[in-house]
Amino acid sequence: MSGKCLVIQEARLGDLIQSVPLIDALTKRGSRTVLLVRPGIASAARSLSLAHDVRAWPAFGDPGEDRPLAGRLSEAREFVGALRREGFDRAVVLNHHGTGIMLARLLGIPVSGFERVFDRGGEGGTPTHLSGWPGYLVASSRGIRGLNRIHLSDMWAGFGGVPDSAPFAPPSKKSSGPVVVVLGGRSPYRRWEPEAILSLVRNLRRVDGGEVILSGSPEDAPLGELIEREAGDGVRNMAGKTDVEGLSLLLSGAGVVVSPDTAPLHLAALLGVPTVGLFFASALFFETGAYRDGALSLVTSMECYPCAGEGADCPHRSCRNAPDPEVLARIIAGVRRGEDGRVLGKAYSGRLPGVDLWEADLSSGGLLQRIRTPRALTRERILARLMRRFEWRYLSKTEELPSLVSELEMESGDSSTPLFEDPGNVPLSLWFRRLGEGADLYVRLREQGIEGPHREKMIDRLATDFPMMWPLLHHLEWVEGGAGLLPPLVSASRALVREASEVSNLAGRSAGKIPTNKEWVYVAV
Amino acid sequence: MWQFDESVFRQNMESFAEGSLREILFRPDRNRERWEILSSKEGSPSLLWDNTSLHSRYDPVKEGERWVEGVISSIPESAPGILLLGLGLGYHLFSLLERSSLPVSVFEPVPDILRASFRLFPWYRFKDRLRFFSEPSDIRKVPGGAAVLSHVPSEKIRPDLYRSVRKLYEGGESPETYSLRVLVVSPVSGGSYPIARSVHRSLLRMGHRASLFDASVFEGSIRAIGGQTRIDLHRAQLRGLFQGFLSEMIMARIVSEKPDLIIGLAQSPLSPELLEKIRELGIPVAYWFVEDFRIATYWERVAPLVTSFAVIQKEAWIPALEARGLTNVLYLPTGADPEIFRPDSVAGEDPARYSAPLAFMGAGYYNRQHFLRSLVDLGLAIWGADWDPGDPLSRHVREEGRRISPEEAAQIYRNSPVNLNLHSSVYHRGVNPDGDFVNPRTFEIAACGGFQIVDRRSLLPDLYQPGEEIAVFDDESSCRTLVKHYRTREKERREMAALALSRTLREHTIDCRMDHWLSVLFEQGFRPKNTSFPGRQTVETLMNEASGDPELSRFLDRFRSLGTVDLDDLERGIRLGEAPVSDTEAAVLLMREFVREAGA
Repeated sequence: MSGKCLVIQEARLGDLIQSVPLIDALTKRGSRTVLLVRPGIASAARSLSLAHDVRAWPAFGDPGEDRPLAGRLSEAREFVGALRREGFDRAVVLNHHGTGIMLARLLGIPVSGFERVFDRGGEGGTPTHLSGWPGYLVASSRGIRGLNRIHLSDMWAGFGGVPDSAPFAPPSKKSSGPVVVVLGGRSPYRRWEPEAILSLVRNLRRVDGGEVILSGSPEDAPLGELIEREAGDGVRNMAGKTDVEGLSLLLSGAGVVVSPDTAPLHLAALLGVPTVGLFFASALFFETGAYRDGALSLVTSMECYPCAGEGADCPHRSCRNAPDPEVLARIIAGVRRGEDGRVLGKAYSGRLPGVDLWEADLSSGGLLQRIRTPRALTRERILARLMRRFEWRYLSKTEELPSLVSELEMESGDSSTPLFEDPGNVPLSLWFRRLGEGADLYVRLREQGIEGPHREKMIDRLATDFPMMWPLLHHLEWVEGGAGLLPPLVSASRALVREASEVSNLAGRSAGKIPTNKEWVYVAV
Repeated sequence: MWQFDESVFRQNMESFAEGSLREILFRPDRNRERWEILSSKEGSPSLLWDNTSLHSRYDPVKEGERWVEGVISSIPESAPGILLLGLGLGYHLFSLLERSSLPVSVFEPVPDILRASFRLFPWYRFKDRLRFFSEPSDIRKVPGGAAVLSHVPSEKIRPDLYRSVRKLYEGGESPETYSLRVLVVSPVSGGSYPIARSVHRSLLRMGHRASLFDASVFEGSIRAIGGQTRIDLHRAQLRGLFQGFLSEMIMARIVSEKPDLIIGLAQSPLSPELLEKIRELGIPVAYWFVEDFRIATYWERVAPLVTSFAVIQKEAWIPALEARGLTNVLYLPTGADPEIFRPDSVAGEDPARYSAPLAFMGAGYYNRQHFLRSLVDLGLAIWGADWDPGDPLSRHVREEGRRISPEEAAQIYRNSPVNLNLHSSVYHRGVNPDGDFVNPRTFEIAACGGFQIVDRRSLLPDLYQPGEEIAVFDDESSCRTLVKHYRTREKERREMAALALSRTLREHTIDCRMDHWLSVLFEQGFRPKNTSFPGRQTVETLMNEASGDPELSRFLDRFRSLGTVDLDDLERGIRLGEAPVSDTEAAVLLMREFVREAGA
């Protein structure tokens, strides 16, 4: 894996920062990494020294530029020619964009990550499928996102090959520095209400007493000025006043950073600064929470979370009304004092209506999230954990996972939580047993290598008779086209069958509690 | 003994492979799955491309000689040379070189075919007066004034390129100079639906980049809407909503394909609101109103909103349209689709099933129900839908009165001694005395080489000579007389049908209509539109812009024959070409992805 590697990352700064675990893994394996990014974030990538070298796409593809096609083509040719001559050994394409995918193909070097565009149709109109981590990323974003429990950084790290047994771990910093409150958010639906931010700042001043710094982009500057004015002493507006270097400096001196899902949140995590992320609307913390052990996320508990799309169709946007700014201020103050999620969860679990507190747990099986405000499990949440374990085994080809029981505990909060709250029409024990049976049938079908219309009929039948299989079939059939690697599939499926059966037994015992590991062993015997 | 010989290939290469031709010939076959070599009965090889034979499967050598016999006299004595369009394996060229001493330039756009021919014939023996080229833009190197000869089977593989080369050579600007992007919008059902399909096929044959919005897939939906309620108001509301949905779908196609021209057929779901929107986009719409304006009156809302409004009636109507200030009206009778309506029988032809002494093909309109009763004793058989099952005539209805496909209709026309053609009317008991326009069936029967007797129409004499090319009746009595006369006179029938066929192929195919319509549009100033990003523009303009970049200019020169191009065209050109992808080609592919991403 050594040599010169071109990492094509065409997303925004926040996503770029979340690619660091991949770049770190490549570097550890001896690669000289060159990042190719969109022009708007190239200088940020350079100043943060995210790779050995950073390049930006030239402007030939910018539709906003008024220039003739021939000129664009000449520039594009120079660009491709120069990259071809540079002699890269491989390319890793992180985004499902035709541009990066095409560029990597044109360089004529080995490509990992996205090698083609899903479902565009290849030569002769045959549908194109994706496999491996890129396939899972597309499956997750196009249908099973609500069930996703794998962090984007872990997915991208998978693009580079087998993950390291030692996960990427940012340094851990403790500082008595100020609280940095980030005002922004990618879209209006992913920003906190100005009134709530003002209330939070006032409460922070009252409860914590330390300095509060407001951060954000130039377009947040008027709001920052307003809050600075209204909140009075001890509040400093820095929104619009820092470049990325300045922001990095500001964040690294912070005691805690509070932010919705933004680039500063990810940058703070990368710098090792304690963070409190606010997740609502379409921002899914399992996917893009701060990538740092112990990072806290306050997440809306509304059933509709995460929204499909950006949330533009939402009639009320009430997920932004929680948590209560005063409670949030107390939690932030606790983090500044060095309290962890367990302590804070115990202290505030009854005072966080509409919100759950989660704490990140960095493990060799990726970044996990542990709920700190106990919550009853539903079949969907159990299914999500089972799917996470299946996908991790299938795609990482590793068994390094916490036990099933401890993952269920992470999802529910503690072992005394009722196992489920909505039994539905089909008893939970039967439902999970059927999941195991469906997975078993599916893997047998794959092992037998059945093809053609008969296979399609069998898949349709499987989807009809075992509806709980849909997330699995969505990934393995719709996105992968049934063409993923068989050995890891067999191994992961066998584990899923076993674990679905364990969950089924657990539900059948119906004590309504998750047993401790000791009990579990006893039951198994 | 015929054989493909590598040493012949090598010597041909040494003699002819220069410049771009050399590049093309040295690459591996890219369309190998599309063609195969078969041995003819006589032993010489023949070539099958997409299952269509480019040469005789019996004796390609003889066929080549006959081809030369047919064309040699057409070469003017003063011609400085010959331009041969289409090589195939080259039998006709070999015969031509033996019969003529003129220099010959051969255009063959398919590298696989060129290579196959280079392995078969020792063209190097004629190297002093023979040259080959594969890029349309190389036509500029062919000296002017050459006699243009065509190998028709070869032209069918890439009709667009052949037409372009011909036009480039003959000079001047016409619709054929361009390969237009045309979106044809069909109706959901009805008589104009097959015409829409024919228009689409015709444009493809002409080398345009046509696509079809096939609304027939919604036929069931329209029926379902009608079946939901008996309350007319609700039905109208539901249909209105559905029309809105269809409009959105059409708009999605327009945005995606960015056509140079939209052709709508009568009853197609191009509502006035949608036409307004299309007008705002600046895309011209040509609308073919293949209906009786007296019965279907929605033309009043459509005609003012389209660029060209083609009609099948004249006298009473065109002045009325022009009086309303509409200057976009064109008389354009319907025509026959030569791909379906042709004189030769097709595989699986079933004359026993699809023929009758007196055949009538058509729907059971009011006037036909009455008129045909007087002909049942003459061996009448009826094909078509909407015939009353309770009527005594129903005994003569074949195929259980189901709808007959155009292909089946062609069999009926070809195999029946006498085809009766009675234009429909919902007001008259027999022949409509005021009937003016000529129905498509008239042209279709003629295109099949079928014999027909047709009711008198005021516009018919402009199209066929009554009594010579077509038999015409005025009423039941004259119809019976004609049937009785012709049913026993095969020779007369054959002669008249042959004249009608010849006239049809010359003047009344759907291709003739499209050719005429596009020419009129061109005369009126229509040209493919330039757009900004991603840049649909003439190759000339692009080359001017790229004048400081010789590599890019060379690349663009390959597309000169298309007239105008956008990135789709350039991308397609690369896919047709062969690996490895050059830096310039890479730039095009990359640029295309940026455009896709921008949703342009």
